[in-house]
Amino acid sequence: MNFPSRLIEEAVNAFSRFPGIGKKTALRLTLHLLRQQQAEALELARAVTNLATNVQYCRTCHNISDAPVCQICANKSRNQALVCVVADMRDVIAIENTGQYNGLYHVLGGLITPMEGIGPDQLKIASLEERLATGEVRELLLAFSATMEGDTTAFYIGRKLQGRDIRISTIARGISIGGELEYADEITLGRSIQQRIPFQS
Amino acid sequence: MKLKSLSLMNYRVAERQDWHFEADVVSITGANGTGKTNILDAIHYMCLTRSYFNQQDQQLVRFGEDFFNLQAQIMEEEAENKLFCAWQGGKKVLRKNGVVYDRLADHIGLFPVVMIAPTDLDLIYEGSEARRRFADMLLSQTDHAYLLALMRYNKILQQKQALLRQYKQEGRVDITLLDVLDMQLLPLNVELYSKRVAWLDQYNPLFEALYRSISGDREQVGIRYESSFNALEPALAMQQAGKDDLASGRCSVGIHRDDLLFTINGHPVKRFGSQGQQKSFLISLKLAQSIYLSEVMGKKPFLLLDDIFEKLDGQRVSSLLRLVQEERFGQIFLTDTDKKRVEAIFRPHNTAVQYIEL
Repeated sequence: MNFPSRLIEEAVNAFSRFPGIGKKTALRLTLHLLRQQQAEALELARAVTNLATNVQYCRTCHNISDAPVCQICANKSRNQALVCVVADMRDVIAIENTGQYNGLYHVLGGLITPMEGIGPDQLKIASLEERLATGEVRELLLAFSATMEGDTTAFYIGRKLQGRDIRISTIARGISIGGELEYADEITLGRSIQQRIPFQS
Repeated sequence: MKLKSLSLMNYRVAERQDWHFEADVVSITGANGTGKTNILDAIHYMCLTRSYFNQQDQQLVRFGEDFFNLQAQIMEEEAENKLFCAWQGGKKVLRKNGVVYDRLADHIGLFPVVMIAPTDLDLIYEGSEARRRFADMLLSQTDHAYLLALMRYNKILQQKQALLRQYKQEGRVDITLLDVLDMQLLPLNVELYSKRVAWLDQYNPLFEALYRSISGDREQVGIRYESSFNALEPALAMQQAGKDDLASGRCSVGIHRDDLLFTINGHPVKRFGSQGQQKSFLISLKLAQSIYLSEVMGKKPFLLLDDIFEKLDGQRVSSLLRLVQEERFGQIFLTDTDKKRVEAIFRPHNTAVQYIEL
């Protein structure tokens, strides 16, 4: 694409580095910024600068935080003995939105994917082991995507923690609420049957 | 299972073609380069969502275009299936009766197909990968669980191979992580290995019988399954390979290394089979595939014969036609450069043939 202005080209290139944004969308976003009041564009620039310079990671759970310790870790009314291990911040948001969880988190920063050069050392797994050393945590809840990478990460953590006096659980997998049985894929359905649970009325 | 119509757009050499098929035997004739094989390959693609010639989808797009699509209408008993498949810019969409597949794998096995082509000689002469693909494509059609296990196996294997390469370069090893991957590979190795063994037990007798009736020869032919698990339990074999694999940076044990040894009188057909014996061997191998699919699935696959009559002598051709007469096969699509030859072959047998000339 040829642009009449270097400034526009720079902005388009910057936007098009975002996931899911191509050149055309980037141009639309750029022109949108220009049509707005200048103050609004500057407000955006300020937010981005702030984000880039001030963002912190909680030193306990590694979630994104405004302070050295995040709000969840600082909240003493939460169950300090239960830690949910997740891949990234989006999973924390998803679990918080359920309103069903009152423990703490540990954000690994990804899942083990050797093909992309992501091994245990690139993730916050050593820090998880340190965190358990105090003995305060009694249960780890592994909450990963039901993919091969999620399984590998869960198995790895399970192996690493073998022999420790700690309960390790994992989120249940099966038919989604409102889902039709006949449309469930055979692996999910097969697993739901293998790992069936006592009926509760 | 009857293919009623097929449309090709920008598929390899075809710009736009619409075909209607009426007979159980469809003969497609024309000079070289007119796109006969193309039509067979399009049928193969509709059934298995890939080209027979193991090409990337991108390479199947007609020169100068950026997409292709295929449509087919297949009757099963009274039910009509409308298939539509389109590829554009790396994205493939497959619809059956208007419903888009979430996973292409779910389509494989619904419409079984067998192709016989001159490139089949690769099965004898190329490396083990071609022979594994032969077995895998067949088993994937009859056993959906096999296909899913194989896809999962390949994904974990890629991760393990990446890890072994990395460890070799860096000289540093996380044994726990390798163990975790092996732990996931082991049950898949056991499942895929035992399914391949069971398949060959059933397949070999079919194959031997066909070879005898096609060639009229008395040689003993067979397929031997060579696997690292023939001698050692999978768990043990994987464990023993561990150290060497770390040193070499390769994963040396598993079903991805298996091979099929084609034998004639106990010797490799590659070195000890005459050209004629090799031809009979390959055709019997493929026809056995068709019969195996019919027996296991209860429906007769489409049989695609690409340019085989020119290279077969009269005796083999008439053995083949006898099998066709016995209705051992499903709908047949064949190509040849010479319509007269095809007419001469089928006329005495009173078989209804639809002739398409390109």
